[in-house]
Amino acid sequence: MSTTSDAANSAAREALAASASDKRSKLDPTSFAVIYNALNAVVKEMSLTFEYSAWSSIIAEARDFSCAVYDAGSPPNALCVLDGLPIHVNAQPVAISEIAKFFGTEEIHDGDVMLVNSAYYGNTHIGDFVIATPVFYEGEHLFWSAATGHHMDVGSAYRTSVPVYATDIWSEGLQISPLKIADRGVVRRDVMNMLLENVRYRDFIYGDLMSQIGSVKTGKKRLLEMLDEWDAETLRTFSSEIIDYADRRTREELASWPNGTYSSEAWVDSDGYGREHITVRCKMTIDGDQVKVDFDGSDPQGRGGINAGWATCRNSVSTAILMCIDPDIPHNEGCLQHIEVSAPKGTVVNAEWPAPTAAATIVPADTITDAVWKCLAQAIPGKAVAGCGHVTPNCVTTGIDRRDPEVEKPFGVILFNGSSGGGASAVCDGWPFMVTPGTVGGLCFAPIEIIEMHFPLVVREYQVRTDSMGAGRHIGGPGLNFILTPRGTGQIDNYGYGDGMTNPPFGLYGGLPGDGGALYRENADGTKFVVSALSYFRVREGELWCAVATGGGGYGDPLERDPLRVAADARDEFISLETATEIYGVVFTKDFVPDPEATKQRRAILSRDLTLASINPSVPGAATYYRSLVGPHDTYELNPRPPEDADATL
Amino acid sequence: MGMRLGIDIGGTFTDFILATGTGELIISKVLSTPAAPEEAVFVGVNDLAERLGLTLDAFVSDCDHIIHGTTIATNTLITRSGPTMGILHTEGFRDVLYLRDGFKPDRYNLQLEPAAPLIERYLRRGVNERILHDGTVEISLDEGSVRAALTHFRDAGVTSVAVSLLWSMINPDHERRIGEIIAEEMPEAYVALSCDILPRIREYPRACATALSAYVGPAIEDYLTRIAEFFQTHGYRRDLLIMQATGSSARVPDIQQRPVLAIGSGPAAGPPASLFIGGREQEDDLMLVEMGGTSFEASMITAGQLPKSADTELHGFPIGVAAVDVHSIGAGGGSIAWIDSGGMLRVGPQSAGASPGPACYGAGGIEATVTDANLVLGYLNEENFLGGRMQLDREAAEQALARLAEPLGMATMDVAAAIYRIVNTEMVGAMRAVSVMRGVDPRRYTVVVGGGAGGAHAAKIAQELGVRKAICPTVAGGLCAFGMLAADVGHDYLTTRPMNTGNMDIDAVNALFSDMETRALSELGAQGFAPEEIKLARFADAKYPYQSHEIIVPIPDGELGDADVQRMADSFHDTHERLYTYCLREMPVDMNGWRLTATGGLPTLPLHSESLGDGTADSAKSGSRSVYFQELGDFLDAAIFAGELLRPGMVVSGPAIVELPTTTIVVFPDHTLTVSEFGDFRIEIPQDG
Repeated sequence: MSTTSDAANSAAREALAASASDKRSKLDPTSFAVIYNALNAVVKEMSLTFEYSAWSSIIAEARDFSCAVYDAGSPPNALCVLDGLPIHVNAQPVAISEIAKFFGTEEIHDGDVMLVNSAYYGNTHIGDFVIATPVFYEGEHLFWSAATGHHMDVGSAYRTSVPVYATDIWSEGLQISPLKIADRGVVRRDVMNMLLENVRYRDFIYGDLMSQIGSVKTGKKRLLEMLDEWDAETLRTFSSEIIDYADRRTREELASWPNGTYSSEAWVDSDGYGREHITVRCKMTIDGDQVKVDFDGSDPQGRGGINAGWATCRNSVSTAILMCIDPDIPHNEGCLQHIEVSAPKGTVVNAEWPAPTAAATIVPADTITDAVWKCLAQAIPGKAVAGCGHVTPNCVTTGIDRRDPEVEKPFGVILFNGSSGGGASAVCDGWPFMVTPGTVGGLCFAPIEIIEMHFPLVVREYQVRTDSMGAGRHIGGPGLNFILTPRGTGQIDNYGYGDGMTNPPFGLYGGLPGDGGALYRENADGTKFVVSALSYFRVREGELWCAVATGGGGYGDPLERDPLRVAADARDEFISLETATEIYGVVFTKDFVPDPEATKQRRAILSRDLTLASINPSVPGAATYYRSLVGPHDTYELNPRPPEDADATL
Repeated sequence: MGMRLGIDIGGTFTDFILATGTGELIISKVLSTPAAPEEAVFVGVNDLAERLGLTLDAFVSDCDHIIHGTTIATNTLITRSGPTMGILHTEGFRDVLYLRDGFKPDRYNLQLEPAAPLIERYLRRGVNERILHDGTVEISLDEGSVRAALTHFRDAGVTSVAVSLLWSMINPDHERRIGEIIAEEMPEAYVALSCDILPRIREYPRACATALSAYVGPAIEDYLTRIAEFFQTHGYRRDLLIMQATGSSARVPDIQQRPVLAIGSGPAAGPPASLFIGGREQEDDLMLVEMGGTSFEASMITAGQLPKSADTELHGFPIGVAAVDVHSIGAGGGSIAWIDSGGMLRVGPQSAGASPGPACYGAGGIEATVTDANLVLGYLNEENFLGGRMQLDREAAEQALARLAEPLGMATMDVAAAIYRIVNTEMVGAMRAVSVMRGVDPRRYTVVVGGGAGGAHAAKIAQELGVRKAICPTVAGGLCAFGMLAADVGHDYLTTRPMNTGNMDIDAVNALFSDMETRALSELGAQGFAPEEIKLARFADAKYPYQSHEIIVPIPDGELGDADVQRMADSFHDTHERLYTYCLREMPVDMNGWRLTATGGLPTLPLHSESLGDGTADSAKSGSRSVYFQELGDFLDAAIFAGELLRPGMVVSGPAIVELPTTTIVVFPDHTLTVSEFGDFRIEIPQDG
């Protein structure tokens, strides 16, 4: 089995470092700062253009997109990624490299707009479309203006752009290798039409594509203005200096980390075909200012779309590490070159063509990030965070809107609302709705009223679930109950694509794992049909669609949590009174006023029997919540798959 | 015509601008009194009366209009000094305020404290009821659940209650009934219903605007009552007008109904001021550049229309109201320069504020600020700052800059020049945020300069944006107080009723506008406006089906017919294409929110103009000094002019400095300053091409 590694770049990296150290900065600090700010403004404008003019809620509301500017180097260097989703922007340069390689200099023209979605051409998963346009100035190709966005449909046999049941790339949907969607300034009608013929909801997708093209065109326009102002040479100098700048700051930060080798395991729930607890094995070596991450020994690739391509693997690693360095350091090659990844081919973290990768940005990306985080937790406990949920439990929900008796409108929507909480850190509690380690709070959820206006759905509940957050000195972000029912449609089909239902967000240094994580249908008679994260199930009118998001993992010993905060948590029903007493050891006199003496005694008793785990759990399959839902009349099914005629029976 | 008085309470000073019947403007500043802001108002009004040689009563009763910008609401929010507050939601949705829109700022920072909601969870309760998106009642209101929640609130000491149920903007019955029950159960409590505060789709901004109203409402009510009483006691016969975030002013009772509109009251007067100044200078497309001590405000005015944004956030909370779009960043004269861990020079957003202030204030500040840089660069005059009322300490400024110069390996002067340039870049970024980022090309706009620090920076910012013209009025230092004199009295009305241009019920649209217009005429009538004096403008919140974000587009007046539907759709397609590079002309358009803006214009301020004299400004020249110009990379000897001596028609060619009591204008090399017939300083900025 061969291994993919970017260690081969070491020599180049050293050469770069050497040249960086002997060349004096050519740009004065003022120009440097001015250009830096101007580029941030360019990317921000690209993002606003995309967000405000997009059609589907996954982009306009959930903000599952990222814009960035790269230079035309090989590989392209990030000049500015601003607040792009880590899972996107750390992969974009790979996709743009593939575009550049595919077309070569002779075929890249001013005004072209390129599109790619194939994981084997540097992309993450099929649902993410990378769109990029070259920026030419005085005949020379200098930059790329790029945007990645998650689209609602990719023409899969299944009614979802995250078709995890597809067992190869051909059944996943339309595989787009580098393609020109616009040629020298003109959108190609033939290409656009071919794309739209191959997807559901063509109006949606057309709107989103035009919006995405508008975003990169806007970026290009502003870059040209910057070139007018600064000339090409200055910006080229900037582009190398911003890399040196990030390099300098990253080097300094990593040098303060203790040298050593750390190892960890993390798990994917299932492969969609009944194989459970697929293991990612991670070995991290911190050596001076380099961090080496090796996935040797990880499990073979899965049958369903739970595999990572090389881009996903690399960026899931860097995502975890970038979260632990100063967030102000620009994320470009100067920073990323300090991270070396290697992974054996044919494994879940580095799948071999034509293995499916439909859910890669979550499964296994989140598990890879977890594995790296667990190593970092051992190396730099003060900076590491406890586990964040893995989207669980999310679905692509589809059906036919029959609210207007005269028009039947097929619809599809990805609702992120029921998404997991984030992990606690050494200094503060976790956030709710962090969704996944790959986005860490960068998404928004769809407002309830927008959901109900656009779709034949009525939301029954959307609020915090008591006791869902991992206990600790700092508590994880809470999990949420998100419950809805179809109304005016007959039935909805649901394609679950998340992870982390059987493997909960981990707690650190005495902190407990997050609790929750379940996806089920509540039948009219009150019985439940509980499914695993990767699943398909239908919900009819009169039944409930129930998503219970996990809370994030806790950090530190719960017995060390400030009793006043425990009291406030109990008063606010974040935690139950029982948890306050049994887990946190806080005893109240009355009305959530802690009794200091009784609390002290209670905590002394509890601490006697306690062994604090540094990482909890240490074994796969530790989650209990979804199992607790299954009573004698309820059903649990692992990986129920859609029938081939699901569409026809809606 | 009588006098008109504008009062703007700021962090350090409370500004007064009085327009006398002849059009003369009197500017006055007194120290603010944050503990009891009305004190400064009383002192300042007394001062003005004395200056005019009038008794307090004679002065106040001579005022036709008193317009006030208050910081009470803003301060209550910033200092979190509002009442104990509870909120009622539809059962199952008690975490609307906590969950916000889900977005976590500062993406890669995992050690950021979670955002604190306005109301703690135990005071956010659900009540059993449910209304669906079309307004039908699915679950009727369970009054027992309301009373139980109120009992809980009462026990917890709640004195202000917000109510925000799902779909109340379509069917407000349940909220109204809850209002009645609160009046029975907690008669002393302050109540805010979301169907009154913000009848707009999207539960989070609606709940937020409602909670904000319940939070600042009691304090506003007390304050406004006291201040209105003061003026009434002394003979003021009209209603006191309060500046609103919407850019127009409203009567005290109107503000008491929707207190959220008093948040951001002061800065919202900047754009109306620009409009007025632009208007007399015959400029329609204006860009406000207002730079004070700690913050920089930017705003765009296109075709003489106040810029409105439906997504306004104040202090991190969306208010959901179409407020005047004033974009604020932490960049001002007091912004501190510092070096980050990568060795990059940064400026702000921390500010030295009024205390200790910039190093050159000599009040104990040791960190270099923009003002220190400006002094060292020669833009400011240590002997003639604030009209000579404040002496600046050049040596302290140089020392502060030297502390940065050493680690940067730069000369002190170069650091000063860099600070000047970096802060300009940030302000240019803010200008782009309100212009280019929204698809508006700033180059055809005219910059209007405001704020004490504006004159030293605005022309340079304008130049970087490609702008060719800037106007600095003599009132630049108190632009917002001036704006209050110029702002209209007005109300914004909103009705949510989802429709589509493909099958629009035009009669229903006519009916809802007719309803809003009747209310508008009656409410503005109460302020003394005759129907023909009231201007009505209609807008719709429009989007393509399934799009989430609306664009507010103007729609035709009068009785609408079927032909107007296409015009409304076209108005949307055009705007969408301009903003986002594409449109889908064949696609029918969703129109969900219907807005009416009703304004009554105060009598136009008399224009005080003088015929233009000849071009020589020699008579106003007061000397010269050495001033740094970045474009030359060197110091030049620049002529200094006393702004008050510059008469209409006079021309000052850069490099030069014009000193006014409340601001200093830097005229850069190649720039030309001309005094207009209204006394405004017009600056021409050369641009290539």
